[in-house]
Amino acid sequence: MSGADVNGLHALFADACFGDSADALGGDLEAYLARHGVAKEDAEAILASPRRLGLYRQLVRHNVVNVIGMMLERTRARLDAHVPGELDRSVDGFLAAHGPRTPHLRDVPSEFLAWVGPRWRKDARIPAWLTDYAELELVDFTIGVAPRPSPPPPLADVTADRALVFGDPRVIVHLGWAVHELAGDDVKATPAERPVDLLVYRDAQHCTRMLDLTPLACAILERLFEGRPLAQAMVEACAAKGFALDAPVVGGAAKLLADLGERGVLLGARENS
Amino acid sequence: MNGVGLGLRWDFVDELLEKKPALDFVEISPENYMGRGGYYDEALDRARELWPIVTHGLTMSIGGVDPLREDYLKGLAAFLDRVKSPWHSDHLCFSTFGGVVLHDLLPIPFKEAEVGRVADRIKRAQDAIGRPMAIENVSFYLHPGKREMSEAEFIARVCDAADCGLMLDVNNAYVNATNFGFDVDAWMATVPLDRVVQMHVAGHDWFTEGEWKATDVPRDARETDGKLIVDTHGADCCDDVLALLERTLAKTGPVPVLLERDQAIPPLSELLAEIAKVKAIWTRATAKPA
Repeated sequence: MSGADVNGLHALFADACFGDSADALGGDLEAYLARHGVAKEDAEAILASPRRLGLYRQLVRHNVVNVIGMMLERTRARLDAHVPGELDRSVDGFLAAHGPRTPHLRDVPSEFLAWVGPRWRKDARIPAWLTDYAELELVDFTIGVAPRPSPPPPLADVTADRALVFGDPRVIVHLGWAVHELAGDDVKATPAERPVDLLVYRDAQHCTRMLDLTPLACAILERLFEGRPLAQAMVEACAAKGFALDAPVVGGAAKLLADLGERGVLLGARENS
Repeated sequence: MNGVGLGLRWDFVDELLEKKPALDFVEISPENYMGRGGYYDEALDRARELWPIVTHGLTMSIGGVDPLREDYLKGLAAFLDRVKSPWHSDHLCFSTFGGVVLHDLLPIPFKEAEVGRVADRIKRAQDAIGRPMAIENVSFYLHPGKREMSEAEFIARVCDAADCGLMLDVNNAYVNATNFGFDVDAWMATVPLDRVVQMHVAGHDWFTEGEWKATDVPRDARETDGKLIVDTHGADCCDDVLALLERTLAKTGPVPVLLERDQAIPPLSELLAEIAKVKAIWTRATAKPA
């Protein structure tokens, strides 16, 4: 058997499992094998169990479809309320056009959403906020299982000239709709359309938590996450958002940092070198 | 590491960690933990304090034609160091093609040219992870190419060429023998039992051919027409598989045996009762001189 033969057989299986091949598998299998260039003697072996490629298609797809369905369960419910069956059709499209690339089954839904998100956003049948909703549902999971953080550096008290140290995992998510405010059971509800900046982090009990940030708080935090000293982050954020760096702003920032400290997100400050 | 262990699954990990039953070991799939933190990662640390851990991979694609993924092997090596697995096993199958990961175990043809190619990949993987590897015989439902040798001969040839261990899945051997109508004891006489480092047992289910609907277990050979066993890990081990386990253990001597359960998972008490049943078989079979 040449390397080309093995390649051809593996390509056949990949197409049979993920491709647009359901009809071919249930129809003229011999012609399907011929189209894939399967050698006569190999085709005879496969044709000895003519329905079994269909079984592999079912088994392989079950694993992938199942994990996407589980991790986007709330998205499926909302999508079905507007376009019944669309998640399954989207998964079919993903498998045929792209397919999973990650060895970790848990990461397949993220790959799926990266592929389908731009398509959903362009699809007039699908609510404009649905992709934001799906992204938030996945972030809830991905923050919950993100790798454990490295030990923090030596910590100092928070002062204006120091960069701050934050616990991981954490991410700021930017959305165009307030999808985090949707109630769990009303699948037909529509969220408010407004810019939303959410800090998503994992607490000490390994639960994913979310904090709705004001635009200024978001601007400050983004700069702090990039490692700028506290005073510099505030000056830059106020300039970017058109705020004067006055007593209410300083007071608000102090409250935000105290809150983040209580939540275990802000650990302290980096010692100045 | 020896005796009888249980595959660690998230469905019952909390209860298992709370009850701390006297398991000889637990088996985990690294893919479920690599690059992952949070609740289940911490649960793994707690499990490590209670039981020895052995690893069993899902996506190395040892029979694949895509290059072995260096990043995966590097991450796997670090993970095996962390859990101190004495060996690592994965399946004699392929699960990737053209960069796409199929997330299942696809069969490879039993051909002369495949022996050396697959053995070479096992050796390279073994070098990369810095631990002995064992390959598992998989359940398969069709021959993906002309057979130039039997499955058992193919396994023996690959193990010999790669100088690797055999993770002997007793249920898979039974499933294939039943579906393809060969003598499972002859199969066992051909595979290299001296290379067995661990065994798996599990349950399976019968399905109708074509519709693939679950169906009752046939009462005799006449009722197997149009039906097929699928390796679901979704039922208790059947008596035939347990009897085969006992006959095989009597030949290999004491090697670790793992109970796998992935679907229709019963209450933990029932799983532990099944473990006790397997342990009684293990004790009886290994008390006899091999």
